[in-house]
Amino acid sequence: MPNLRVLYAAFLAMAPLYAQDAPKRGEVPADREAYTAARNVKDPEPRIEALEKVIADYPKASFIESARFEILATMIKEWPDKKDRILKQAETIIAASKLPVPPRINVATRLLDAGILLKEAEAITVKAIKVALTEKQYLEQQRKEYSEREQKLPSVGELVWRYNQDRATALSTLGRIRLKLGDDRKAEKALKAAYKLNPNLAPTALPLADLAEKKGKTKQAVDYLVTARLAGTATVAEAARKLEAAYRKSHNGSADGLEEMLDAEYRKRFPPPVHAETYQPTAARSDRVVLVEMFTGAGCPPCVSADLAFDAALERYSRKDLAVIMYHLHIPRPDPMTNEETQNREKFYAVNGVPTYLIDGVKNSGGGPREYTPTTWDKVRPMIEKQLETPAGAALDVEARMEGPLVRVKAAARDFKTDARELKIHVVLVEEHIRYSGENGIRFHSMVVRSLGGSKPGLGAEGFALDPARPAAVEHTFDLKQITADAKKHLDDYEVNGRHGKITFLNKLHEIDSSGLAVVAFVQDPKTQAILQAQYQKLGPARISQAR
Amino acid sequence: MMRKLVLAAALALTAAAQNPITWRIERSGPAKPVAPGSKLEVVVTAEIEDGWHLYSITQPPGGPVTTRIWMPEGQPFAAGTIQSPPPLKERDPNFDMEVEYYEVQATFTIPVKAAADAPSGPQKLRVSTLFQSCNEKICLPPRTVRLELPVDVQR
Repeated sequence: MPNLRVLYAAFLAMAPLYAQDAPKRGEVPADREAYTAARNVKDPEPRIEALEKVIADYPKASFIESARFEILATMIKEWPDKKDRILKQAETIIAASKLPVPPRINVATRLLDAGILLKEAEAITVKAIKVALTEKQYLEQQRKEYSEREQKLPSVGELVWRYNQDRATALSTLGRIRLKLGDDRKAEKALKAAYKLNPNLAPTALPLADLAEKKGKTKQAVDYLVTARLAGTATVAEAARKLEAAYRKSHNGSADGLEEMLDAEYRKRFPPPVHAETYQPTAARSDRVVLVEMFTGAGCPPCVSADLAFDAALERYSRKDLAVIMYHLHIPRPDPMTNEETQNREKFYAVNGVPTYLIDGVKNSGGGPREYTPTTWDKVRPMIEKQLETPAGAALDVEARMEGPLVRVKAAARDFKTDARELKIHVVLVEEHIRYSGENGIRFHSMVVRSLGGSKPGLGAEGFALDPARPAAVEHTFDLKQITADAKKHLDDYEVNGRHGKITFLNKLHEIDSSGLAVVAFVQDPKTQAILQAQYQKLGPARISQAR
Repeated sequence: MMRKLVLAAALALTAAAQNPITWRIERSGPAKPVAPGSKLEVVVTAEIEDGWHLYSITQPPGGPVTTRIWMPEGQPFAAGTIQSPPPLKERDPNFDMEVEYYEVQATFTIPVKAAADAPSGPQKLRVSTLFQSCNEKICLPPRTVRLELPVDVQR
């Protein structure tokens, strides 16, 4: 079966993040102008004629397939009863594509969504499954394509996994069509086949859960709903609601143990994609504690590989080697671990999107899905290890202790090796682990930033300024009650006035678990953004540590 | 010289990186003066880089931020119902849901009425857009772009 993921991997490997300058007025290519003009025609018949003319005039344009689908969409919307015409356009799309499966599934999904020509949609999907390559053919095709591109061939296991993912999508579509046709038995058969190939697809698991409930098999429904809940995606709230109801039904009305069960299932179903061996310091290991600052979002699909790559880093390096702090943001969806201070830090670094990560102040961005984690890890690991062999630009001592709801921090810096006229000491309060299954499917979030010392409203207004000509010490107290209240206020306000309009968070995560806190301190040149030295201090009984 | 060129290239890349979607505003038809209380039409166009999507103004919740286009208060012009081209609809692997989006270019038409008490002389018609975009590697933050169009009001 042709594989979109291969094209995606090729895109990730080859395409620069931003391939071209934004087109300026008067510089829009003729084909794009013509396409836009055709799409802007309001009446359906002239619109279709205009789109067909664009296809004829610019047969090699990148948007040709979109234009053909646009004709199909116009027909489905305007004349859902004109069966022959819609099917003829579907055939045109399928015939024009070099790929036998994706256009068929795409056409069938559109018919399914419109609720029309379901029998025909079923036939198209069955055909897609029938004409798909066998696993053996697919592997041969992949070997050839990778060789032609002179790229390293993924392992056979990964290729088989990809093959099964696409086959699962086709079977899932077939199951949902049959469900709409009222054929529960055949629908269940197709959905179960899809589920067997990919047990982590929410669009498969949710209808299977409904079918199980219909038969009174609540325990089985719970199992499917666990899948849908942990897979994330846009249906995560629906899955959470249905799972809790089904779980209570099968546990005498109680939800006790649900989250712990989800923890265990997550660990079982989503093992870490990278197993990093413990770092063995080289002869060139310096006195530096490397700092990773990452901007991420629990609703951000491409953040997954970066989140997991830095989880691998936390596993490989000790906190004497590496400190990681995660600033959560409401990008692209609302994220209940966001607060005003993480947003201020976003402004300081002029973050252009998530995921963005800074290794000792040097900015990088971009990630991908879970399967892309090894690639992200291969990218960031050499950056971290290079820094581990780069001497620190300062010595930094940190003392942090808890006194009831207060975290008192003293940070002292000296021996600056820099030309900077001004430096800043930052002290950051992080929660080491937060459990939250959001839309991107990550359940355990590491090193979540709760507060930045010295924050005031304004660009880069966090931290404490110091004069590099002499040693400096700062003291800061984090008030957990105040931080919690501020976080709650931010989330309450965001539900009403945020950029996503009126929303409801799945969970508001303003409460802080004081047993899992740590302080990260670091010295930064605010002009170059370079980090001179960092220090990680787990909180517990008062203790002192030094990084020199 | 070389250093300047490198810097210019870096700046161009940064500019492109921050703006995979660029906006422009213009009058529909000749830019003749308008009388207080009269109507005019404004066209707002988004140019969308390859590989990026602009989500529609009717994008359902649960996914990316719905694009918003509006005329801020405090100006002698008011907007009618914005007309948008029909968006493409597709299951987006990033969001694992069906999204409504535009690619390449999208034009939005805003019917505008000049206030009956609009002062004579050169005025600025202001339109704001809020939008957000993702590709396979990164999700951009929601961004507000403010557009201005000079309009001559004559009684």
